Amino acid sequence: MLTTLMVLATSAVLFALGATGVMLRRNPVAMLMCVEIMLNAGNLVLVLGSRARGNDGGQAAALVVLVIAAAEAVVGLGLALVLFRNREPVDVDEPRTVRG
Amino acid sequence: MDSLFPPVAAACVVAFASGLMVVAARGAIRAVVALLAHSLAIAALYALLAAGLVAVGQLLIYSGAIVVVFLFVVALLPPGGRQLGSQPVRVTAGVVVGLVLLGALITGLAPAVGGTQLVAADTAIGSVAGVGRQLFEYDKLLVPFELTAPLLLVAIIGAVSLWRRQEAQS
Repeated sequence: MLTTLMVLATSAVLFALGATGVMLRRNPVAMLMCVEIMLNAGNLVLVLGSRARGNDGGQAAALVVLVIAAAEAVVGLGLALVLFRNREPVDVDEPRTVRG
Repeated sequence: MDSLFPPVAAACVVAFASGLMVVAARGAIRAVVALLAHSLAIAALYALLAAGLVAVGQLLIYSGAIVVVFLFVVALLPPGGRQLGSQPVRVTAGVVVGLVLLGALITGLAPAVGGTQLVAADTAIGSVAGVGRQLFEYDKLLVPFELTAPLLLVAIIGAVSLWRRQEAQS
């Protein structure tokens, strides 16, 4: 009971946190990271429900969500790169060093 | 209190703290590292909740693939790029939306908690065979699962064509 409550509360808080981040951040890459947090929170509820109900369906759905998250990250990051490229020149062939 | 509570609580705290760091971090690299810690904590939670297959998937897809892609994008961004600060209006709006959403989630999820007990150490849950049966039975998740294949293909083509269009312009 307490464990269920803890996980459920964590996932609700994480989802709200991610939504706040999407509103707050203006960097497209940071926004995408906040969306990933929201996806993780949703997945957590699916897995918790699967455990609580003794049904594998939630875990299967969580796997599908993982794949969709990967596709979303690819397209989103591609868009973010294009956005940054339009502001300042970034050529993938140009950089000789990778920096943070 | 069951024996599962202390590790689950620890993983929850780590997941929340690192999530907060992702949202609040100034530097992009710090946010990515926090995202890595976050996804590892979530994977630990999956493993604790008897979802071994999902935990492995989370480790491989999230901690492996997605975080590395984020790292590469951050590394490719123009150095010292202007970090747009958040205006107060935006901060207020974000916090208000977050709190309203949290309240809605709590009121929505509260009825689901009543008397919900974790199935005690049920080894039948989370086996590869059981999850696979859910994924591949035609009346369960077969159609969504098969649709993820064209989705990934479209995502790859989209990402490449976005970049190619840029190449043509410059």
